[in-house]
Amino acid sequence: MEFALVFLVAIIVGVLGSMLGVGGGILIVPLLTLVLDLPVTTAIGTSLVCVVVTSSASQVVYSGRGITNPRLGMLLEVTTTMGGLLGAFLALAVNERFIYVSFACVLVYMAVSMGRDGAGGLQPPVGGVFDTEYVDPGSGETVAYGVRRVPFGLAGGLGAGVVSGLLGVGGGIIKVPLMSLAMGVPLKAAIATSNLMIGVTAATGALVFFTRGYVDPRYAVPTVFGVIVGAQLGSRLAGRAPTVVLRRMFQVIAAVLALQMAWKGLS
Amino acid sequence: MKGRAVRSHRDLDRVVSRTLVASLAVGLALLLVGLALALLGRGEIPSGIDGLRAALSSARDLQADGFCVLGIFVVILTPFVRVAGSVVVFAHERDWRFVAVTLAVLAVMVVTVRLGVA
Repeated sequence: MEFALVFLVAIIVGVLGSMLGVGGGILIVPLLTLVLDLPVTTAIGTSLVCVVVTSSASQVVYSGRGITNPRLGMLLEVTTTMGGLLGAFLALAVNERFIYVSFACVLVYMAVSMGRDGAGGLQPPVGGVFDTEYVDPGSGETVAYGVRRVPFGLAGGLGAGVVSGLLGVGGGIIKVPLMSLAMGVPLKAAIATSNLMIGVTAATGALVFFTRGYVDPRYAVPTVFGVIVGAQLGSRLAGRAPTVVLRRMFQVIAAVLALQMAWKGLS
Repeated sequence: MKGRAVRSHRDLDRVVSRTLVASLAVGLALLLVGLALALLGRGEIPSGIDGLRAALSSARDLQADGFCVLGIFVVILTPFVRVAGSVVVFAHERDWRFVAVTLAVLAVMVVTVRLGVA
């Protein structure tokens, strides 16, 4: 019965995550803690394993297209893995109320940012370090760009890593704007590179939780398979539902979950 | 020079993709076996066992908990395998700067394992 319930929750997370392009972690941790009443550390450990799976699976799709910038991703990984390690130990050390309230803040940020338009219209600068190019699968045009403000990116990567390890999320909510808005990476390349990095960062945090016994197979196994099934369903449904409706739906869900997480943290 | 960088970038991308598929497939296959054994046996997934040595031993005895723990471990290791593969690719391209960068990432991961089990 418990298996079926966790599996069902994970399918819902997979469908929503895939349709909205958000990592599962942002929904898995609140749903596991609020619906199934799991301890927050177990929920974070479970979530990080799922983030590794979804990131690896989607990276396979992105890698074939040549949009990912592996050199940039690897460089930023030096600090994001450090952050992931730091965040995971922080999660095991701090009072869980702090985690609930922090999570509520991230959910509010996600709900607000989902209401804004993307930065797709910005023209990326050419010239910098790691000069490269890719063919945009949508328009067929070749996009050339160079990367800027690498030290700033490394510092931001550390913060993204801490958030990932602390809250059990991928950290793409920080990595994508960091690369696209601050470092001059085109949005599509930033999303693909962030996806590559998310797996490595989440794996660092997941290892800490796994070795400390906070990844319970009773929840991790059905969640992994549920998210995979849900992501497949979501990718098939994505084209049929209007984006605006999906965004509004996510905003409502994120706001409700944020209120509940804040209530749990403060009560 | 830029053309060479783009080609190398795509080659690296391909290697990353293949390594990820192989590692993820092994992890998920172990989890599926564990799930099947659990559902056919006690009808529920076990809560897990302490330590990889115990998990290996349990898997040898065809116990669900061993397969589940090993499967989760392999899934978590998937991005690490990819990072290790990138070291080989960068070394093959004689890009020593990125060999060093990638080794630094691997070093953090090794420290994570050491700190985690400590």
